[in-house]
Amino acid sequence: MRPRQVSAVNGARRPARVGAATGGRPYQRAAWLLAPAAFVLACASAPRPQVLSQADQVAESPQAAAARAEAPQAFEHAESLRRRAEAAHEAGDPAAAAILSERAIAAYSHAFVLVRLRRAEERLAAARAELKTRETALAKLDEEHVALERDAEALELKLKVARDRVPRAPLGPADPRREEARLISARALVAEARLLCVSAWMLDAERPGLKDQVASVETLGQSLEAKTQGAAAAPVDAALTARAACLSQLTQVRRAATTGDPSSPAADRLLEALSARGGLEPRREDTGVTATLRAVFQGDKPTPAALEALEALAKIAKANPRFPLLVVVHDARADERAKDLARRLEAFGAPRVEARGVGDRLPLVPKGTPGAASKNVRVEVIFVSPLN
Amino acid sequence: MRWAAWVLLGSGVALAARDVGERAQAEQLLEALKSAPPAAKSATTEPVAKSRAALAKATDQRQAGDTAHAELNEGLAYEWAAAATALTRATEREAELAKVERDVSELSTQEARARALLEETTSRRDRAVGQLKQLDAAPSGAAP
Repeated sequence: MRPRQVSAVNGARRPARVGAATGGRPYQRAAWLLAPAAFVLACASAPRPQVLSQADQVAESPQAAAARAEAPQAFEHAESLRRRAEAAHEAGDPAAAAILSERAIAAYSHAFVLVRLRRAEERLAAARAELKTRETALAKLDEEHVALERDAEALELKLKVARDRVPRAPLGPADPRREEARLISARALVAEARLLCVSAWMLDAERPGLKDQVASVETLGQSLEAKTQGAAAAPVDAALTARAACLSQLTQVRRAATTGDPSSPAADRLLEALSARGGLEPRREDTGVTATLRAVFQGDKPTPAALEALEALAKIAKANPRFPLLVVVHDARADERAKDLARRLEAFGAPRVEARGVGDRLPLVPKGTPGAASKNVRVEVIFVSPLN
Repeated sequence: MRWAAWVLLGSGVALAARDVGERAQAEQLLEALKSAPPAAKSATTEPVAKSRAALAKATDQRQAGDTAHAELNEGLAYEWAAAATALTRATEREAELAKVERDVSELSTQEARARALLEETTSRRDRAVGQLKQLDAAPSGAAP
C-alpha cells in the first residue's frame, strides 16, 4: 500500500509544479505526457505473494474437496482466511497477505487432518463393533464346543462300558504259561474293579446295588487269591465283567454331579495344583486325578520327604473337599501301609480318606524286567473325581 | 460521540483479548503437545516448528511496535498448533485402530480354529453314536 500511496502523492505533486510553469519550457510538455504513465504504474497492483498462490493450489486440491464435504466448518474457516489474505494483497499489504495465506494453508491442513481423524474414528467404531461381534461368536462357539465335548466324552464312556460288558467267547484251555498270564491278568482286572467300586462307594455309599457289586468283586478277588497255578482256568471274563460293572457304577454315580455342573474346571485346577507342587507325577485316570509317591517308606516309617509330600497333598485335598482321597499302596505290606498313610493324611487335615493295598497286582512294568521293583513299588494318592 | 468512543474502545479491547487469546492458546497447545506419545510427536514436528517460528516472529514484531503483524503471526501460530493437536489425535486414533484391527484378525483366526475343533468333536460324537448303534445291533455274544 505504501509504495502506491507514495507514488500517488508524487503524481499529485507534479501537476502543481507543471501548472506553475505553464510558461512553455520544453520539459514541461514531456512531464505532462509522462504523468498518466506514472499514474498507471502507481495504480498497478503489487506482485502476488507466492504463498497466496500456494494457498490457492491447496484450496483446489482433491483433499480440499473431501474437507469441504467432511469438515465444512474447518474448511470454511480456511477459505475465509484465504479471502482475508486476498483482501490484504488487494489493499497492498504483502506482509499481512503472506501471513494470512500461510495461516490459510495451516487451516486447510487442520481441515484435512480433521477428515483423517473422522475417518479413523469411523473405522475404529466399525472395528470395535466387529471385535465385539467376533468375541460373542467365539464365546458361543466355545460354549457349543464344551457341550459337544461333554456329549462326546459321555458317549465314548458309554461305549467303553458297553464294549466291556459284551459277553466274549469263553476262553478255552491253555498251556500252563498262558494260564499263568491269564491269572495275573484276572487279578489285575479285579484290583482295578475294586478301586473303581470303592471310588463309586466314596462318592455315593447309598447307591442301590453298589454294595452287592463291591461284595461280588471282593469274593472274586478272594477266589483268585486262593487259586494256584495249574488249577482250573482263570476267570478272566468274570474279572473283565466285574471291572466293567464297577466302571459303570462310578459313571452313573457321577452323572448327576456332571449334569449339574457340566463345565466344572475343578479337576483341571486340581491337576494344576498337583503339577505346581512338583514331584507328584499327576495324571488323570478313570478313578480321578492321581498323584504318585516313590520311596515312601524307610523301614516301617515314611521318610521325611514323603511326609512333606503327604502334608502338601492333604492341603490340596482340604482345598478340594469334593474330591475324597483314596490311598493305594503297591508293595508287599500294602494294606497295613495304606492304612498308616491314610491316618497321616487325615492328621494333616485331609477331609476324607480311604485306604487300599493292591500288593503287586497292578505293576507298571512286568516282573523280571531290570529295575521293575523300584518302578512298581509306589504309593498312589487318588483324588476321586465326582465328575465324569 | 461518546458512544462511538466506547464502541471503538470496546472493539479494541475485544480484538486485543482475541489476539492475546490466540497466543495464549497456541502456547497452551504447544505445551500440551510436549507430552504426546513419541509416534505422534514425530508426526507433528513440522507444524509445531512452524507454530514456534510464528510465535518468535510475533514477539519480535511486538518489540518493534508492529502490533498488527504480530497479531497476525500469533493467529498463524495458533492455527499450526491446532493442526498439530488434531494430527496427534488422528495419529493416536489410527494407532488404536491398527491395534483393534489386529485383535479382530487374531479373533478371526481363533474363530476358524474353534469351528474346526467343533467339527472334529462333532465327528467324534457321531462316530461314538454310530459305534454304539453298531454294538446294539450286533448279535449278543460277539464283540464288534
